[in-house]
Amino acid sequence: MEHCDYYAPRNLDEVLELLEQFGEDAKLIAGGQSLMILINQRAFLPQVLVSLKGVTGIDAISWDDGCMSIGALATHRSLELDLLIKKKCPSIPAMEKKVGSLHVRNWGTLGGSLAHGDPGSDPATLLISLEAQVTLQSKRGSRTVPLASLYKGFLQTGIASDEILTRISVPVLPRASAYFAKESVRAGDMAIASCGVQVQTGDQGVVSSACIAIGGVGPVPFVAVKAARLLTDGKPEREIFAAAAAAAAEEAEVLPDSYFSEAYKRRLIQVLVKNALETACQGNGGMEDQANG
Amino acid sequence: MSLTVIGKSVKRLDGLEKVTGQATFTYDMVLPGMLHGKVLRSPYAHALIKRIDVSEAIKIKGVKAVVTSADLQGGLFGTGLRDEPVLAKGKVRFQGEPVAAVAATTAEIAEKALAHIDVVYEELPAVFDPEEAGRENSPVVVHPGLFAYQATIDRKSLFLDEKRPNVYRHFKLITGNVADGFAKADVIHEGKYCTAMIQHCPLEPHVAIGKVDLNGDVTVWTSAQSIYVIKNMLCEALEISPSKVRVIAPYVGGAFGGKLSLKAESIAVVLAKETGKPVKVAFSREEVFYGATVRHPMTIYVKDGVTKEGQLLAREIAIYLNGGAYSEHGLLVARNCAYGAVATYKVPNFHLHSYGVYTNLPVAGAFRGFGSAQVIWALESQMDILAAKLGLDPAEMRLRNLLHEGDESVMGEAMHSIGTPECVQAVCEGIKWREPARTPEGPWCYGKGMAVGNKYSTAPSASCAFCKVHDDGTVEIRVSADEMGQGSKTVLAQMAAEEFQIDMADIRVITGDTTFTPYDYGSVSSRTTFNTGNAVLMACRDVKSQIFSRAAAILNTQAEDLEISGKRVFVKNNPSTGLELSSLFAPTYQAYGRYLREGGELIGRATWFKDRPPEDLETGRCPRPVAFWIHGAQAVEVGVNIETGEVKVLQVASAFDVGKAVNPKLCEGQIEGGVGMGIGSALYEKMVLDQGVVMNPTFMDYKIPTSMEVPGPGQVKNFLIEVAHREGPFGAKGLGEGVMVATAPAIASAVYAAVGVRLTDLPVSREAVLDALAAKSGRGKP
Repeated sequence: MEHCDYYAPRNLDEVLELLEQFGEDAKLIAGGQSLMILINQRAFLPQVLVSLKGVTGIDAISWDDGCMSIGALATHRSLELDLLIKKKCPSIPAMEKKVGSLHVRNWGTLGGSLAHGDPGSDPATLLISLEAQVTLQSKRGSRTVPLASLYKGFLQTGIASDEILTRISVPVLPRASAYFAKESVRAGDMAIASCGVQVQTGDQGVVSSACIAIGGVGPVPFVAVKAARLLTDGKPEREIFAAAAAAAAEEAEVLPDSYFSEAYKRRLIQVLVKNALETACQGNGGMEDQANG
Repeated sequence: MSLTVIGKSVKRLDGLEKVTGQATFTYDMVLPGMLHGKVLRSPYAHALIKRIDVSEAIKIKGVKAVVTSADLQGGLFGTGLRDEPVLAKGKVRFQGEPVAAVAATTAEIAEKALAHIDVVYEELPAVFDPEEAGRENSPVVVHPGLFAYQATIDRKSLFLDEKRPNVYRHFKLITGNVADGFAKADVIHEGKYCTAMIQHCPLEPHVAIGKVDLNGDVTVWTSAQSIYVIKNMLCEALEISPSKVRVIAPYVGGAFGGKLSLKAESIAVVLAKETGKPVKVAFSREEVFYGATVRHPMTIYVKDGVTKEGQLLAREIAIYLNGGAYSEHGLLVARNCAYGAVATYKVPNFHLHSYGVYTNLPVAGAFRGFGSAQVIWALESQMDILAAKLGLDPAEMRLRNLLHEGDESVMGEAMHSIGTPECVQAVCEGIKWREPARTPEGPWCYGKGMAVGNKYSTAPSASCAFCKVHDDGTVEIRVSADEMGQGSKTVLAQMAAEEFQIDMADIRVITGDTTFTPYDYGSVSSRTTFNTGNAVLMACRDVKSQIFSRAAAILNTQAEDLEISGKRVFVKNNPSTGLELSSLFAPTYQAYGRYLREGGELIGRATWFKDRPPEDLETGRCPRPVAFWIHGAQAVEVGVNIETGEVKVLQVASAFDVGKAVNPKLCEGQIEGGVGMGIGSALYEKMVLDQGVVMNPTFMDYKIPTSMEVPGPGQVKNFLIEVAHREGPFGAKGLGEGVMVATAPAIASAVYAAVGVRLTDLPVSREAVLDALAAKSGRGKP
């Protein structure tokens, strides 16, 4: 490995100080499960590496007023095993189980995965459908933005060079259910295609809101707005799911790669969205009864 | 004769060392003063080298040498055809070809220096497809010098043809008259089959440390599977006298055919000579993909004619091997891949043409199966299709055509030790062939399939062995069969223990150092149990006869009346009359240890040589083309997801005729590893190439199946069939390569049983499955 400066701050203030000082030249490293691959492949080498390993206090999971708040340094494994999350948002641990291998989940953090900006990130895809928000902090202050708005291009995010992603807030909606579906070549691989869905039902079981996010197929996670619109105000039924799945497959931005054609990926999206909607809506409402994927 | 150690699953001799991390692998080695070498590789698939300027690189602090072809002695090397330079001379023929090398105090500095070597290339048109390259008057000629290259095998056998300038070998195998056969056939089926480029992916990448003494003596530590092949190639490539070269292979972290030719070794030696220091050249994983060797992608055409009862009447085969930029072991694979087509079925009329073809791709070489796996993929797929066309059970279709003991193969060989029928029976029982597969659930459909296969072991080949009896009565075997994980050390020790009737604890096996261990062709072609095993037994018997002569004089009896057991030599019918082996040695003056008064050492020596009569060049026929054949069958149950096209292997039953299972547990280990590799080749593994550039040279993007993709405990059944070989030690043959030849066609057979589609190209991708399902239902491509 080429030379780079390495800093190990002990708290968030020191991190913000370093980010202000080095700006574009600095790169944060938490679990290293995404960044180290790029460095190892010589695709990228920052001049300054700021390790978050010693930073305490930003890995906690808290609950407040119908909202779950996850510290950015929470590991995938901790989210997979958290009993309260399992009870209230079972789609999250079910998704985490599909992330990498056990070793990757032990090291990798949720914040790291989201901030890396890989369109195949399983957490990003699900959390966008859950309408999660992320808090970005800098010496200038802090702002909270929808996760969906964070992604600008392949490995490009709207996080400024002096900012760090510190929190992920996930609203826990009443009578909502969610599911994450993924197709990968091997268990734990990055997705060929994935999708996160959340469906909220109102009076008489009519869908009051729905969100469908597609991962792994384009430069950024894709929010299938047209597909979601087909669900809204209707009954959660198989025919509508199939129509929404077809719409999602059509509207998503899809790029072919060396392994799979665009047509195949669209076909997969259709299957995944249909399966995810059906699985999510097998339960009859509230997060407490959410499909257990 | 009842056996005491043979046939027992004794513990591996190297097990403890390996699981505790004590075993030495070249990749871990560090020598005092050692430098690190890195290789500059061609970014182009085909280009002229107009200029190389190393002046900036050599100035970098820590850089000790930069070498190019201009610094090299010696000419071209090869495996029968000398076509390959150590470093490219004037031209590069594949992306990844070594162009220059640097030695520096650290690997990082060496790598940095590579970026400062200025090479001016002029890109040339390239050719990647073997059929295109193999055509008459191909516009791209990979080796304009082909017809002037030196051949170290009979040049006539290559059938070089100036009209087809990229074909480095054309092999023909002809028996009977296929036109007659097809005329009599009730059903004819023609198919085309393709296989992807795949890599061996040994856990330990290619690595060598070179050291050159002031007197010119060369020592090489390497992770290789034949120290003598490496030694002899090195002497040829760098023009060094064989007596000056010592090659040492400590433990080898997997090879699978991929560590059988010069890769890191020659460059390490060149850099060591230049710097006067030991130099280590350790490939990165990426380099292993494009800088080592790969399995030949093949395009195979098969036409079969059968009676309505399923009897094969005629078979016509054309095989195009994508050899990549140099012939390497492809020179042999181009012939030997045909052997996969001859040893399983009776075929009265048989025509085969195979073509080894140069292209501008990474070099193809030896790979577990040596071509048989690709050919058997095509042939077993054909058998399955024919069975379906005739309405026959796939297992029955095979059974009706199998060769049996004494039958003559299409090569003209009288077959011996052929356990295929027993193997078919065993796997059918193992997979419960007569019972239906599990019932469909959601998008998942299930099916069972099977295939048979064979793998030969090469001839001519030789193995030598020394057997030394120590002054404490323990027995030391010295051989050059490299221990690369297959368990040869343990198996050879078992043979010596059986021969001497002593505990395994009293056997030592020394391997892998050309200074101390005698010639062996190496751990290749599934050959060590049979060939090195025979050499070990012969060396044991040699030293035993010396012991009997010495003991007979002391015991006042005849040598023929003596036997050895438990470190004692004694009279057969009167065990109390005998002596300890240690008493054949005299105490030293100080009485520390013992020595031999006459003869220096109690040492037995032997050479086992398996000859091969010459083949008829025009027909390819040969009455004994190989040392022996491994036969086997596999049956699988798969699940196919009709929505995504994913195929999952749920159960595997394998049966292989090993002659005699010297160590059943090691055999099972080989089979289970082979099943994993077979599943990889069938469903996952493929080097993706774009204009000759490998797009996925990492373990993230090149998909080797993990423990999640192979059937787990209880879902894998292994059967060891023992049809003794008359020349095998204790009847044993080999196993290592046979284990993956049937896996891919068995999986494809099961996919057909599950969803009714035929896949012809490996690996079977989920997209191809889905396309085939759509085509079958008449919907066209989704």
